[in-house]
Amino acid sequence: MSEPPRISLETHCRHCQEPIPSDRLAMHDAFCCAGCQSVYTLLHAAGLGDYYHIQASVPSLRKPQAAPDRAQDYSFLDDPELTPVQTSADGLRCLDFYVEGVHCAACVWLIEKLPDILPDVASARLQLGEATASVILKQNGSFAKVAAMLQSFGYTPHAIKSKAEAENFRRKENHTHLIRIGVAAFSAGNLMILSVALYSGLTGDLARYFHWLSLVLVLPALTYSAWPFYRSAWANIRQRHMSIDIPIAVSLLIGLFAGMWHVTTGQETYYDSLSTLVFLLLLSRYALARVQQHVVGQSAFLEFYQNAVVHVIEGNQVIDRPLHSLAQGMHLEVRPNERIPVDGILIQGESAVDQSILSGEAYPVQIAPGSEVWCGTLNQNGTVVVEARQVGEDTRIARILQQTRSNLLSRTRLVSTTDRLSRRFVAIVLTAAVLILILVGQQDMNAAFARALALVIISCPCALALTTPLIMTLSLKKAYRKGYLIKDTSAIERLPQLRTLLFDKTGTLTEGRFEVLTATGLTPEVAAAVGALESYSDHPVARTLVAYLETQETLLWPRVEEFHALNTGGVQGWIHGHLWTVLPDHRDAAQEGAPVTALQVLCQGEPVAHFTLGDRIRPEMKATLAALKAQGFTLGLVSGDQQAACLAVAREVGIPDDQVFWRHTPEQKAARIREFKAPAMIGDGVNDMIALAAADLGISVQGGVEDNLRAADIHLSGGGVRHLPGLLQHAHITMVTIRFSLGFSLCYNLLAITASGLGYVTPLFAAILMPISSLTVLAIALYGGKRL
Amino acid sequence: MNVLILMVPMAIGVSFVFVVAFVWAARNGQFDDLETPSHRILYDEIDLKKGTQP
Amino acid sequence: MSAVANPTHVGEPDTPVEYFEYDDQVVRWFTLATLGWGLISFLVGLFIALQLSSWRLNFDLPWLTFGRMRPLHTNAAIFAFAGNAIFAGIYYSTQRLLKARMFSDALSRIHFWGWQLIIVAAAITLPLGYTMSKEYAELEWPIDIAITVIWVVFAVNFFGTLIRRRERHIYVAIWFYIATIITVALLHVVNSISLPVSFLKSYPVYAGVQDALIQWWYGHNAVAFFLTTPFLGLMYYFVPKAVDRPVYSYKLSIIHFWALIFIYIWAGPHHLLYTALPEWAQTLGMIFSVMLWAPSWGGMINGMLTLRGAWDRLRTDPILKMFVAALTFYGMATFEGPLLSIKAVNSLSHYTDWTIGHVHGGTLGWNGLLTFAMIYYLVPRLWNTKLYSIKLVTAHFWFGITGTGVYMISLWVAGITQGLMWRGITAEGKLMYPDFIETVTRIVPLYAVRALGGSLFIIGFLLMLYNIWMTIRGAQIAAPEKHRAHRLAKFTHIDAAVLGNKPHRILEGMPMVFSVLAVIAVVVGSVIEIIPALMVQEFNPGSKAVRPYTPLELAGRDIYVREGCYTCHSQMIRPMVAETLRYGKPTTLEETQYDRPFQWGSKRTGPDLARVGGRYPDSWHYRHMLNPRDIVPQSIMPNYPWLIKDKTDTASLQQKLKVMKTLGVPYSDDDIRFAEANAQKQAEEITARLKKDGISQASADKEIIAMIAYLQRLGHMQPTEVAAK
Repeated sequence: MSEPPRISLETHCRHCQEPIPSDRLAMHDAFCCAGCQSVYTLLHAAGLGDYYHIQASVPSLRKPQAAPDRAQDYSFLDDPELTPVQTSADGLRCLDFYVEGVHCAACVWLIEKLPDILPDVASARLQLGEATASVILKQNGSFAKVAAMLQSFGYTPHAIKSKAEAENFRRKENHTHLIRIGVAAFSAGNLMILSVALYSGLTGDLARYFHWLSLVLVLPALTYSAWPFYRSAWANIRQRHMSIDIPIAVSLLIGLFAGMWHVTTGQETYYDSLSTLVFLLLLSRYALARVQQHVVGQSAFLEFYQNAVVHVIEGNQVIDRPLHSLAQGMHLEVRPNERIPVDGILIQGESAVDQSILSGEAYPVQIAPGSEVWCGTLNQNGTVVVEARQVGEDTRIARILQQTRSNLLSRTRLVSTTDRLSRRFVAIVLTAAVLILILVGQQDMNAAFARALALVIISCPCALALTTPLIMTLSLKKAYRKGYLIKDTSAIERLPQLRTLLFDKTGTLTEGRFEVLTATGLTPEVAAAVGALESYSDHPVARTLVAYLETQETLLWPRVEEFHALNTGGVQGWIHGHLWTVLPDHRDAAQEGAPVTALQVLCQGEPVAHFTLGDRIRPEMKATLAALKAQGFTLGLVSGDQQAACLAVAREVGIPDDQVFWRHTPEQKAARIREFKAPAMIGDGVNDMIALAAADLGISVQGGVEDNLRAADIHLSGGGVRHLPGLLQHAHITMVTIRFSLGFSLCYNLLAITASGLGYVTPLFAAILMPISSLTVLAIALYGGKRL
Repeated sequence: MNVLILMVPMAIGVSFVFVVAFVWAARNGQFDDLETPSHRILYDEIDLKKGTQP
Repeated sequence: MSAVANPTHVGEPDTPVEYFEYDDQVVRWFTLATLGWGLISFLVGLFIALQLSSWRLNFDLPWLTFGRMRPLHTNAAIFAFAGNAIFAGIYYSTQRLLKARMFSDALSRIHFWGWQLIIVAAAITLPLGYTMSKEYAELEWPIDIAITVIWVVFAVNFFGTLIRRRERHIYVAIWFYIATIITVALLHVVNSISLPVSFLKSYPVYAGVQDALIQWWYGHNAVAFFLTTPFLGLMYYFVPKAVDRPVYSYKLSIIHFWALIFIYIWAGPHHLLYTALPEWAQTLGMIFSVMLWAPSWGGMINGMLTLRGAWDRLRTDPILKMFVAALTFYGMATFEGPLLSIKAVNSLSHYTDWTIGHVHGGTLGWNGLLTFAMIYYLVPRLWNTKLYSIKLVTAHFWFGITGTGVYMISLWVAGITQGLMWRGITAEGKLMYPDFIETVTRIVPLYAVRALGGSLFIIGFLLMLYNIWMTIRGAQIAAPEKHRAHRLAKFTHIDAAVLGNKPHRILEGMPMVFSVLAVIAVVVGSVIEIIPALMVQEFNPGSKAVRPYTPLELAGRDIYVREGCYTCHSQMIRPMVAETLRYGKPTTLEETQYDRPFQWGSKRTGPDLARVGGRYPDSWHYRHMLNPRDIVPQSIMPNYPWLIKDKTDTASLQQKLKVMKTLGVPYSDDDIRFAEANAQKQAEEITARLKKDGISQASADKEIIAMIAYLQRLGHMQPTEVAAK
């Protein structure tokens, strides 16, 4: 590890390898920010300089994060009341962290060196795929120190608390599932050897010996490994609900007992086929479960929201606490760019709040002492103090989430295609078997039994049970790679059945940000003047303008004299002896709640420049929606925003006026959805959650995956709505492939049923045919999967 | 061919041993994380060199 | 050096930080041993290759003949060269993967010196003719016991380290090592069980087809678990280390491991396709061999793709090139293997040089190149220096792959040529090449080309020796680096949350000990239970139709075994027209039921001998053994003049018969009591016949007489036939 770091010309930060800003570069600084510099120094001081060599030698898409501006106070992590940890008999304590920013082997190395840096750490293990670190501390250790150290390395640690139990349960289930697979593989592998020997013509004492050995070997597979099928079949029978597990369980049991009888009489058993079937079924289900877990529970991120840190004011002190420790009446400090953690009243400070999460309105709301604030909304500028009125489950957002959950539960359960098919299938097979027993049994009971048995084995719904999970696994995996995060397989089944697509506006069709759309007459001089003037104001419009002008070419911003805000909403001031005024322009926005806010700039009363500000429509929306319309979907828009804004956007993207619904509360949105036939809701944010859950299918397009997948079935990352046609196509191909393979296996099985009923199929032949049919269907599945 | 009476149980016995090993590994969580271990071995020998300056 | 580096306790005693050093000394020794024995095994290989193209190189010396040198070559290559390489790699990587010094330095040293002593013992006994004649398991029983002991030492050392590990996760390479240790132990013990006659002579407890079955179960798995699983483990450690990238898919490596483990052990019978083995067993072997293709390629692809994104480094880094070439040869060999297991292909390829070419593609290409690359990687690290010359490594790489390529192609051509000639039948239904020697002379030039390939490979290896010698000459071995790691916390997630702090965790810590104990229990249990059954031979059909060997025939057979005749002559006529035309009716299982060891062979450099008895007069054999070219002018068989000089060991015949009787051969007490006298009588009959044919110098007490007795017996197993003679 002696080669120098990859970036030697120092145009990129030594720590995070991002380009160094020009002003810092001019001062020959090797870092992009002070944070990175401090991480770099710290790592070297701790003897961890090799991090950079390792980093340089590992290909990675992600880069190390810059260190945060100021250190977080993690002392609540050491308070057992606020942060419960697992404790062992010998006094060790264990806590899991979700570590934002880990990305490569160098991170593994660095984090697992924690015990060498902090002597109180007994061990630290990083799980790269899930970005979770398990830290075990000795008796006197401090998790706060660990978190602070991780933060100083440039990671953002989030303690995972409530997750542990569910996570461990899931882990244990996975272990059990794996063991069942291993045991089935053991049985199937050895049975195959014995069976191939028998099929190849082994006779005599050795054959008898092999038969008995088969019986011993099949038991673990057909009892322990196959247990989930029996359990699920039994549960389904009791609930009078049909599922594919019932025919599976019946086949396995019939095969087991018929085989026992055959062992004693020295006939063929089907134990190799049965154990292989159990192995394959378990394997395909495991693969599917793991893919779903990967999409939904990809990280411990889900719960970290609950573990967010808030700043509680106690007396003269501000103390960092975890969110769940809050109580009514507490005073909290909320800093800029933090979400307000409670429903409450503002008691100190002024700011603007982005309430789009609740209302869907992009335009920030001004708040002042006495204003009501809502949990989950985003504080924009200015530090404020909030008194908590409602916390936790009682907040408005929590109630919305609650309703979402009940909506999801009450949604009529869609019977899956395979279950529906298997119902008919079993009826056919059982009828046929009984017919054979009656008809053939009149002449020869033995032959009748052999034929009926062959029938049940041959039509063992291997293809039904095997291909659907396999194709679904492939489909989910490919979808994941394309950026469609699909929560479960039923979503894929429902997609092609949709008729109506209802869109949310803010953040779905639009960017969801308030920004400058057009600017005319903007000379460097004007820009400097407006910038200077607006920088005196805290109004959201002013902040948007300033942020925009900072990116423009301007002169040095001049001094403003006699600044004052006008009653009409404008601002005014003297610059270099001229009176400059920025006024809302009401000519464009005749009605309240116009899609855009227009501003006019006057110098000495003469108009010199004009701005429009608003929420920009996302690129390609028009084409995307036109394509969807061409496919025959009914399109609609439902939003909490004002009428004018909604109509303007709808017209722009081509949604007819009569399908536009404005000023809807989250609850109203959900009610509206139910008026449509086979509707899908496409939205973002919490204000759409109830609607997402109420629709036949909810598709979310923006924000955190985890939050959205609670209510939505599908999350489109990156491209948002633009992915929609691709997603529909994806689901279509998946379902076609499934239907085709099911059709194939049904045809095959019908032939088999006929043949065995007529006595052309011996049980041995059936046992050989079964794997061949499985392989054929697997080939179809894989081929179909390739087209996805 | 009666040697098979010896060989078959032995081979099954060996696979049984490996099944036991597999069960142990699964329960022990050896298959929980099938990504990090491959990274972990790469730099296992780089130790802390206390006080190395930048 | 103490057995365990003294742990220095820091902080509380619950999970102390421990300081430890890796034992690299034993790795250095194993590395040097690999190079040393490598040279010997390669040179012996070249020597026997030249013997095939030029028979004079047998020098009329018993201990230099092909039949005795070939086992020396295979044993040296597998157990000395590959074995030491495996141990070097395992000792190096295990300590690092488990973050622990080897369990016991003493055991490491016993392992090293014990293994070298075993190899020396093999190198002495094999040329002297002490052999069990079971391929890759030729060593006699005292050495077998020594191997078992040393293997147990290795196992204890390894599992001890595993238990004391400071890294919770068991990396996939370790799994491959575990499989190697457990399975090789079982295979070795089961295959080597034999009843001693004397200090260096024993008879296997299995006979005929059972011996064959066990032997090829072992033989195939020697390839599987000595030349494949450990090397895959090494590959999974050293390739990522050398490329500085994690293995392409760790998940795939784990799946690959379990799939291989569950299938590999059943592929053995493919060595016995078209033999007297029952049809179903052959089908079984074929199916499982073909199935092996998938997991093997899984491993190969995984290794290759580890280099993704680093292909450019192949141009500049010959060590990486060697790793990639090794993986390529592994891929080729594991493709060719299943192909050769398909009966249609096997009917052509078996007993020809194609098989030899296939094996060398695997050993030279896969094991050889992987070992070389590993040593190039290790030496600079072990001796704390830089490699003397990268250019020489590049040269070695080219010599290595060219040599292997020439070797494989020449034998591939030779094998197919000979296979086609053997089965060539004219329109009249007669053999196209009735004289076996025609099929030999045709391929002798290719043997010379093969020797050229081997020479190229050895030149590359000599470059390596020079390079390594220059590298370590004057290198200052650094003081062992101190590493620190925390002892595994007794408390982890899984333990705490899933298992709770229950006492059974103590058992959890010793799964491997449990595995070993379980294997031992299974072996001991099976052996105790089954061996009597084998001895009684209770259901051995047709046992009365075949008579046991006479004492003289038995003595002759032991000489046949001693001279390694099986290395060039099979005793198994396959049920194919061309073979029955050439040799007679197919061999049956009953015919070989008293063969301890079986002599079915695996290669026909000379013709099959299963039915040679009675085909030629005694005098023909006498002259032929003395100088084959007196009879067949183009023969490449060595002369065996010492058979005419040396006296037959008749003193041990009583003991031999007694052992055979214990094993179930129906000798009467009189047979045993009069063994020597009977032998004497039969020898005098043969001598009389020889004298009648004009060989007056023949003397009844010489080995050639016993040999003739045995050869004339081949194919004449019925008591009536003996009477007629």
